[in-house]
Amino acid sequence: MAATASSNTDYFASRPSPRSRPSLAPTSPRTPLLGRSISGQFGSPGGSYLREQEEVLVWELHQRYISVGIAGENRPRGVLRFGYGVNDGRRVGDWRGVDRDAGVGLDEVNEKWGREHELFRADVTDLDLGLVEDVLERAVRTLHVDYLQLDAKPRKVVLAVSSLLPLPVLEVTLKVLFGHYSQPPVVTLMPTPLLACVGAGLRNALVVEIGWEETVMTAIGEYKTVAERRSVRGGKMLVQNTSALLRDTLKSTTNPKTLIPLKFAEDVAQRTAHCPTDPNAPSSPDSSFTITIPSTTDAPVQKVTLPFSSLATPATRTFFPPSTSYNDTNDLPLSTLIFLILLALPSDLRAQCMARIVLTGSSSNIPGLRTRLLRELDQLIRDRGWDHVHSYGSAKSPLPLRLRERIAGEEGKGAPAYRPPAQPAEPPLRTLETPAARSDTTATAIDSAANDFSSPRASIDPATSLAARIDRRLATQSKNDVRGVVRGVETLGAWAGGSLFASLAKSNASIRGVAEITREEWEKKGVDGCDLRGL
Amino acid sequence: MDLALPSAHYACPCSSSPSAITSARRASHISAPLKDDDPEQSTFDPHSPRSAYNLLPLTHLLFCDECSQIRCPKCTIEEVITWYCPSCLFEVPSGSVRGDGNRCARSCLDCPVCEAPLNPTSIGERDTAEEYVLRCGYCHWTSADAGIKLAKSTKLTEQLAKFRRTRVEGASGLQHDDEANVPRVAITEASKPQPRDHDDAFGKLTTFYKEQLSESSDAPNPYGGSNYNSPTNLARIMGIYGGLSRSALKKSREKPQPMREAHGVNEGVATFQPEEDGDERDIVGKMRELGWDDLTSEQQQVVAPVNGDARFTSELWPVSTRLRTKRGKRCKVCNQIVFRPEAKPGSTRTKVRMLAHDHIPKLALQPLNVAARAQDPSFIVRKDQLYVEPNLRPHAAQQYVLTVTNPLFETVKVTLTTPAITPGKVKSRVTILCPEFSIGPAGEMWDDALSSSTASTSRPEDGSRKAAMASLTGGEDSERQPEAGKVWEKSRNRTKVILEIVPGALKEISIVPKAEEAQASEVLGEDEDVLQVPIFVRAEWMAEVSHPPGGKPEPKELREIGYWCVLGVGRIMG
Repeated sequence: MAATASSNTDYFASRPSPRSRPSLAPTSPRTPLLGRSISGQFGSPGGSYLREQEEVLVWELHQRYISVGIAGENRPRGVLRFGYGVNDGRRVGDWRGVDRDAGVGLDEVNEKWGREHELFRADVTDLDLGLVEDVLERAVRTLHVDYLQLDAKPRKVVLAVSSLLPLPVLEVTLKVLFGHYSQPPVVTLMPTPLLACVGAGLRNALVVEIGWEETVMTAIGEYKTVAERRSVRGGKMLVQNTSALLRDTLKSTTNPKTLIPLKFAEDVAQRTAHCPTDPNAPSSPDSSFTITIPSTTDAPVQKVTLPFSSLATPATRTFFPPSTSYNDTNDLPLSTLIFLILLALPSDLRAQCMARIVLTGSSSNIPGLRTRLLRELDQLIRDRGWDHVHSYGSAKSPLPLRLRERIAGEEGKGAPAYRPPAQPAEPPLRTLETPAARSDTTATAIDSAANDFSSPRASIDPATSLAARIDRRLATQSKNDVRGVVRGVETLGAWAGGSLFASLAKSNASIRGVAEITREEWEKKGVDGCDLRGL
Repeated sequence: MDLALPSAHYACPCSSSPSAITSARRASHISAPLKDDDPEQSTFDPHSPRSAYNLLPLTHLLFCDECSQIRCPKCTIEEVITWYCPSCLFEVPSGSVRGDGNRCARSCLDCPVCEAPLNPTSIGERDTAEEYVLRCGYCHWTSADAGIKLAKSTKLTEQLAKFRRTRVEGASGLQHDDEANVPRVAITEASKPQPRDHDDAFGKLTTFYKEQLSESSDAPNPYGGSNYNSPTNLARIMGIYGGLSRSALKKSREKPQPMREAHGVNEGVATFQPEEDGDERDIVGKMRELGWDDLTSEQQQVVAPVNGDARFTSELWPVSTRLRTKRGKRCKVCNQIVFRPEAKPGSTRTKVRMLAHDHIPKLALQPLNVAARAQDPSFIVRKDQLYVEPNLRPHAAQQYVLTVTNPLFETVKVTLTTPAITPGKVKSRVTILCPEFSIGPAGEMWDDALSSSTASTSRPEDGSRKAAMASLTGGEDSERQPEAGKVWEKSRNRTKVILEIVPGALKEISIVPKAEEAQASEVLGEDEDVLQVPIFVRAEWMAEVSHPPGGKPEPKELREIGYWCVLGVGRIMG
């Protein structure tokens, strides 16, 4: 197998692959590179035949759930949510979880609230890794036995993890996967934002992943993470706000029930959360909405009634808080966060990402959320322009003369120090045109830069030149290339993206994961031997 | 359901040995004090959350006689022997399991709302063509709610799949027409929003990516199973070594095109604009109109991946019943088969069955006082028969009889050890009056009954008349006092010893008022008031070494086994 794999790799290594940076070496007639075995290609067909048949398992690890399926299928075979199983956190044979609500007795502001429904938290200071291992091990075993039902043949694994997954948790996850009896020979790690981008069919995107503890925004350029920002405004805050809303409503009723179990609050949030697309729209006639409170079998059915419009408040409060002036950097509303991350991008990538906003994550399908998000972003761009300065104070001009001079002077000075692409590599557009006009200017500017590239000058910023080179390639199909307008693109989700990726990587060896860990390496060195850059 | 106290759970040794995750390295990440790494030295804490994953009832444990070790679900390899549908008991051949997605491909369907099985019911009038809907006998959901009506009452899954395909194709066909009329500009495309089908989009994206990959490579898909095809091979060899054809030459002059991104609905891309919110307004309006019960819960979405995006119960799709498997188990260490059922789905027999029950000494705890003896809740079937959990009064010493049963055909020497004070927040004192004793060998099943006359002689140290009388009448010997270092009772393959337990108080009384943090740490979690005694059992016996038939019998060798057993005693009263 290994011989086949390598022989598939090397000859076409110079071919641009979606996962690696496009190579710029021109293709010319060439002798195949040495050091490969031709027998792999021309010999027995066994290897490549097996390769096609071989199944790859795609796992997705999330704070709240783990899902698994077979590469090439459009949906996971099984999803296990932590804390929802009857036996989660209980001994075998202890069935009390069946008719008792776990998590009752904790306020949503309590530190321990929802703990049994999370595998881990971003803060791993006092995380019991042994427990994480046990929980994961049981989940992996259950999924294998109940949902995959495969024979004991070793299969490759693609593991989708959120970016910046705590290293100890990643280590435990890898340990569980390698320790499982199915004995995967290779585990390929992929960050979920990237897979969401693949699942949307894009190369450049701004992925907004509304997760449980955090909302992570990742700007992706050419399948590479370029910039990332986070906000605590995620699913957890939404459920907490829903829980608070329910508690306040129940307080005023005849049957005060002050503690709302997480399962119930989450169910309410999942079913009824919505977001008014226009906050200033005249309110339509409001109707009341009745929610049945889950109860044990014997108790009479309890109901809570509240106005339908009030069910929109948790989502609005979570994702679009009214004022932004006092927020911490990890507490910004989503629209501001998108704006800031776009502002930090080089302008060509920004123009692309603006028109490719991908919403993913468990809370991203709230009706009204995406429209509201795009509208607020659009408004923000209209109000502020691509200007880092929020307020000029007494200065009237949006661009003072001396600043303009300084920019000009810097450009003339010769090669500036290399700046990573995450930093603004170019002066942002100052004037605000109509979106169509702006996209035109962007395109022409890039074209001219691309033309100039044939005679390279020393003064060109490497980041800019690289961006221009990448862009020139993309500029060829400008007909469909929407830029500079605010637009969203739907994605199939991280798992489906992972399935797509794995099925393509199976037949095309030039497609590589962000990190690949072989079994031997893992057994020899553990997590220290893994190259985890890019995760 | 309640905890069945008194209970006995066993910890598989596999949980204690490899669990120290490179703890030395951990220290740099986490400043928490490291626990004693040596599993031999540390005591098992039945109150730690991890114990829920490591403690199992004896009936769930297997035994590998090669390794002479307990095997739990964690340390066994499972291999599927048969796939079968739990609903129709049809044995599915292994080749078709994967294609059907581990689901019954015949007529077994589950209700998407409540997961009960669905039955086809005729709704057609007598003169019109007969039509069937699927009806759930439990929650009265019918497939007519989702707009599904079937022509036949057989081959339901097949019909459903066809139905779904036509529905999806109908939607995507519409998109085709739209696109033919309008120029392919993304904005106009998206101005006619179509609810995108996940499966459809996935298929389109897959084809798109495959096309792009083969286009962006300079050879036309060189490994597409063409290894047998010698002309292709020849052409490729020619291509590689200089003999460039015209087209290849032309192609090689071009810059390699990178894979582009997908555009348009035909390639599986759907976009949304800030200007249009009609879609989402409709959804919100529908939510308001339909009410709580018509919105899908997360459980319904998760239980079957098909319904992953369904928002309303009318969008839910009936799901085929998931297959079950019969699995054999092997030891993870030596690969020996420890359990193997018969392949037939209906059969409950086994071919190989190495139960821990037959290989390790079993522990059972009962109060010495007969009146306090608790019922097993599993045996309570009537509702008026209430189960009362055994309650313990703090600081009141109680005596318990610990019965250790030997399933082996050898005499076993048992050593019991327990921490003097139980781990956990509530500190109770435990004393085993006789921690070292031996248990006689197990015999045939009827030996016990046949040799009942000799039972009285099994109390050699207590051969008084009174004891004999007590054993004959079956009455308990109430005057006998437990003594330290003495076995309480001994019969053929079981030995009873006395455990003395002083339950601790739930709240420690102290004169000095405590800080708030200390108080917070004292708040008891679930089941922390249950008195649980971890006991390490070490058993030694001389086992016969298997030898080839006719060979010289080898001398017996010493075998030993050690494991933690956790005895649940009762709930301590506040």
